[in-house]
Amino acid sequence: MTTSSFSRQSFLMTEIVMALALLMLLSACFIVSLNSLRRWGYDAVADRQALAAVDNTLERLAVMRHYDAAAVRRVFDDELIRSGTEAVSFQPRWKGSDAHLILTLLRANGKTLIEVPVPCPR
Amino acid sequence: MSALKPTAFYRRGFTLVEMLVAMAILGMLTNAALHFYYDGSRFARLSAERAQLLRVVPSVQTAWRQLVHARTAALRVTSKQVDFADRSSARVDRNRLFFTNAGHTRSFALPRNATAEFAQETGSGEAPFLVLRLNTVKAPGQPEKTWSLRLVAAFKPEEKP
Repeated sequence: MTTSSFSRQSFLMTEIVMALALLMLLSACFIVSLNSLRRWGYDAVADRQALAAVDNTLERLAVMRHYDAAAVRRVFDDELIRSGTEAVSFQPRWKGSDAHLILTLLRANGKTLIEVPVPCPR
Repeated sequence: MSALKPTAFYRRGFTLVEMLVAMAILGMLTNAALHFYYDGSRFARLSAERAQLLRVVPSVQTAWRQLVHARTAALRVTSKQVDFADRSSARVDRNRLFFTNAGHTRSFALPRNATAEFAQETGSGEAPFLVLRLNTVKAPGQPEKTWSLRLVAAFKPEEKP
């Protein structure tokens, strides 16, 4: 029942290999989690930039006495471009009539970020 | 005497190759651990600063718009300061924003990695408006992307006689 030197060595080698594999697995989990958190952070910033673009659009429109749907779209596109590169990944969708526009801002995955009615006093 | 008999472990010792391999593995593990530690701590710091900046944005936006909405034009606009005719102003000093509105000053602390700047812009067919831009600053050797937030404030429309 004695253990030979060779089998002892191979058992230790298995332990080492298993330990290294476990370490690599844990490291990979850590890196993936960190990258996910980082991406969520960027997404939160992008959401805030896009919301700021909508808010800034309404702010600029508020002081214009008369504007039409084309002006609303122009101001919003201008704000979206000026707000930063992250917000460009959002897709605006316009619904409603020219008098009562509804701006829907979609994320890259197609989900709605915000839906805002924009009345257009002619 | 059998208790004092050296075991096989002590008799054998380590070879130079074993020692070198062990030191190499230890070095790799230490390197990876340090990398994870610094990466994680930098990420935590940037997340905290981003959260601090995003948390202060609504208050800054409210104070900024209250200041500009009550006025029809700015006397002087630079990237660091906006002056109005009634001695009201908005200025940025390092990481602090100051809004002086009718003699009352409010200040907001920005995170260490953030700055602010003012500008006056004009759209096509629009009256000029003021923009407060909150920017994050890229630290040396930092891989994270910088970003900025625009806060537009429109002047009060002038009354037409």
